[in-house]
Amino acid sequence: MSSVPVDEALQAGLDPYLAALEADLPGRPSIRAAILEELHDGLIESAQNYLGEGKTPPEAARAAIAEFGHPGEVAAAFVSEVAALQARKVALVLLRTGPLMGLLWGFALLTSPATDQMVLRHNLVGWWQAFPLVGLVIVTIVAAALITVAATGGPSRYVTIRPDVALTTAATAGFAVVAGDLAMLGITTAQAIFEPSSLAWVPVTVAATASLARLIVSRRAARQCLTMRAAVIT
Amino acid sequence: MRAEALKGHLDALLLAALEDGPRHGYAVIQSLRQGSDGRIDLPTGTVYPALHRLQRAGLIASRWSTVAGRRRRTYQLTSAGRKALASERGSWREFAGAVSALLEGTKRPAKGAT
Repeated sequence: MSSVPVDEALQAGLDPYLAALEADLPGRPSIRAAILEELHDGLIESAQNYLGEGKTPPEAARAAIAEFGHPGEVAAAFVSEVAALQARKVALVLLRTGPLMGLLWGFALLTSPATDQMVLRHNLVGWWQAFPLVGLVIVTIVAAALITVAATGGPSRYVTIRPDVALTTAATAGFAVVAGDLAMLGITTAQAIFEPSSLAWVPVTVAATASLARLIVSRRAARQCLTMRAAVIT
Repeated sequence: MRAEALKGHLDALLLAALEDGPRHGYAVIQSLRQGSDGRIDLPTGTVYPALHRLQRAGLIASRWSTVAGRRRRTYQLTSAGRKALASERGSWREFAGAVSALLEGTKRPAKGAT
């Protein structure tokens, strides 16, 4: 049954339903696309069963659609799952990019003339006195992201954490990343203005560019988590 | 049988439907329908999200393939899923035995017992 090519009339009968589902499904485009592909395959399977019972392609499409239910209800059933998936993706990306950012900034500081000994000896002066705040931000990021990953992964078998809570912790991690990157960019910008000779410009520029890119992406991801959280709560 | 009546047993039913081998989402629905002589007919909106949730929990795994020109997601039990299914079966036998004993009166306490 599954190897039978899809009849054009059958597909035409399913297309409006799939379009309505696409409009109703929450989440990022990549998540929605995967759900749609899966449901499309299920609809075709169902419709082909009806074709085997002697229905015409339009009748089979209508019967399959009736079996699957109203697109709004099907989409609503996915909200919690899409929310958990979105929170998990954001947290995993933040956890995976964190070490790279640490390496870039670490290299930039250790190769800068005025900061290598300062950082190594924990003797911070000037704008760098704000540096420990970045440590607090890193602890917040790691804690919030790990809670999100645990809440949406294997441990969810044993402990149920609501999707809106997972979205909140993911958004917290995202905004903490924004704060951390802003702090590093602020410190190096101040240093560049008042003591330009104290910086190794190439590694600092590379780290600052990467930080800026991550800041923009993290802010957007955190805001998307909050938008999804609102959808989950309502 | 309504989905609400199966609340608490949905995960076990889905895991059982995958016990004999990999299945795609609609095949899972059909398996439950046919295996229960049509008495368990879960709505699409219940089954697909639940499969995704079980995958996140590591109890099943999925892979994508191409069948007749369209993409298909197929699910299969993981070793953690098999253990969970065995545990769910044990709990169900215990629960069903206790409820049957009470409803069918096979183990009622003697009159006057406190």
